[in-house]
Amino acid sequence: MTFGISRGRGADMAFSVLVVEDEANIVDSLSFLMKQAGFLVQIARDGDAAIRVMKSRVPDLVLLDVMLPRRDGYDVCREIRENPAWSDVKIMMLTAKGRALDRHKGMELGADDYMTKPFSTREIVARARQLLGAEEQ
Amino acid sequence: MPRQAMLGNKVRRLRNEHGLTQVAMATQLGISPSYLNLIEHNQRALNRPLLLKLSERFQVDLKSFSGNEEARLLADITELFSDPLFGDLKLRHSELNELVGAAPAVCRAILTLYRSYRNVSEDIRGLSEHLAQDPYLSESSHQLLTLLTSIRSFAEILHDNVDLAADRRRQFVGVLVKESEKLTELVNQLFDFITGDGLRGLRGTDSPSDEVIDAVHRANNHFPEFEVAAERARQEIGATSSDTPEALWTALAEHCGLTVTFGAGDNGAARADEFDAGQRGLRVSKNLPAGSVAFQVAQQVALISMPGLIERHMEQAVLSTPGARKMYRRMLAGYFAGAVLMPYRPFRSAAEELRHDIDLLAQSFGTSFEQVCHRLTTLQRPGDEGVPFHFMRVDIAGNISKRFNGSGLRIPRYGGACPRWNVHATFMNPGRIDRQIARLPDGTTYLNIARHIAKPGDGFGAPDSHYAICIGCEVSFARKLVYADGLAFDDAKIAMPVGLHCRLCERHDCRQRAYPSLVR
Repeated sequence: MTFGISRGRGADMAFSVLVVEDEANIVDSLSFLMKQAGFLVQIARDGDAAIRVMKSRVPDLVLLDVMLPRRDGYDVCREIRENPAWSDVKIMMLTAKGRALDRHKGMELGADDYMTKPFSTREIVARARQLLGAEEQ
Repeated sequence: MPRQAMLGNKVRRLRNEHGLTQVAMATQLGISPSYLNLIEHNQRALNRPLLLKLSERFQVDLKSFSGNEEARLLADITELFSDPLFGDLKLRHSELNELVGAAPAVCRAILTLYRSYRNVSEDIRGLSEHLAQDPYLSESSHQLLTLLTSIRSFAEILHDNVDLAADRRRQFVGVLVKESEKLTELVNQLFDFITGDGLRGLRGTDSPSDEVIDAVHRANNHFPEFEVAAERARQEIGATSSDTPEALWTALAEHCGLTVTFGAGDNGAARADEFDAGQRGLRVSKNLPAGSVAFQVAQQVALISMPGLIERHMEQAVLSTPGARKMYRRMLAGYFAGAVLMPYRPFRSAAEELRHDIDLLAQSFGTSFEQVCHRLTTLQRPGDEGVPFHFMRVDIAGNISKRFNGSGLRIPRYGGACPRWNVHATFMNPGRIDRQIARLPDGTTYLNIARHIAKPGDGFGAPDSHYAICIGCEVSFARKLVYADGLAFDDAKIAMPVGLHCRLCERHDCRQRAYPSLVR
């Protein structure tokens, strides 16, 4: 099964996603899934790197893990939301299962959606598309 | 009238026990059967002449007809059924009344069950609090979720992408195999944790600091070999009684090839790591007084130069956890440091001479109030013993972080000590020495000296630490202490009635009681 997504204006206008996650295997699976879904994928392994990447190229969507080394996902979420230049960026937090407080905190800080680990790959792609209002090709 | 109501049931039970009809019993009591029927149904009161006749004819104890026990039972059972556990059961008072009257033994059984249910609920609450805060479990659950997330992702990718290129497929299957191996390993460790030592804390066994305190007590807080080692170290560096702490640590460091550097803003945790590594470089805070620098240097010297001696003592102490072993190692090195700075004979003589004036001893030896208190508890060389002291250190939240009961005073292991002890009140008078004659319920009396001490943080915004130190002795040794001067030990009125811990204290009328007493 392959399905690309775009803004409906051709593949050159593909959506971009920044995956912020410190676990190598989860990075691999997420970037495979997102590429397969037609996203342009950037990767950051910690909170500081995420902000650096954001500054050089603003993505349409950030998949943001909560538990990151040095700076956690909440902190990154807060900084993105404080910058008016990034107000269009959608944020999906990746939280641990059963931590309702984490979800609540992420949404308070301005995240647009959340997924709980261990998440379904089909659902994460569907929710990413939904968030961006993207069409399936 | 609840008591009367229950008595009717009691009369009926008594009649049934004797196998009598209402007519037969009424005849024996000289009343009409219909009147007895009314009594049994609580429609008529059981008056005193009838009660006397009952006890005479049927050999019953009058007290059992007083209704007191039933009234208590009724109060207990009413309270029980008001527990939210029973939701909207809405039992009427009269129903409970009848229940208690008709089946008091069953009510007692229900109460027993209810109490054990409450105890178990409390235990579970305690356990779940413990589990929720366990750093190992929280870290493991994070790792579990991470592994499951990648396994699930790759499994779904493989399932959804049948036409995946062969090398990609191999790569993803490889990840699956590796991650499931890690998962197996983690689950095995978790099982070991649950069935093995990991949950020791839940089973009420000792914490590392308890283990260390017990080992120190077994040695009576006196370690002759470390005393000898300290004396030898002083000889080797040619230390004299007039040496300042600075001269002492400089010579010690030089002798052992230890480099001491000073920094600003070093916190205690960093220093603790350096100790344990047994390194030949020691970084200390510029904030520290010379006596404390000397103490740290001597402690590090012990770790570097006498690992064999330390190891042997650790084996003798039989400590079960790495945490306890680490603490014990540092304690032994600290003992050596105390003995270097305050050598046994001169310190013991000075203590006698200065009548244990802690501040003067601290000035003489260039050490801190707390270090002097510590050292005083170690003066137990056979044949040359000092005053047997107890010692404890309490933080501002009431946690006891150090305790030694050389005087025989039992310092509680769990929970806070008696709130009447002056060690707690001393936080209200920072820097001032407080004296207290404390009398325990069994009549033993102690002289307690307490003082608040603050350990400043490094720089603005860094939190200070606050402790209260208490050192004391049994009252028969008090005259050897300058702190006893002017206190009227013979006056029973000035002794403060204290206990050990509320639960173990029989002073039921104490207004400072925090928990109900378990002692009748």
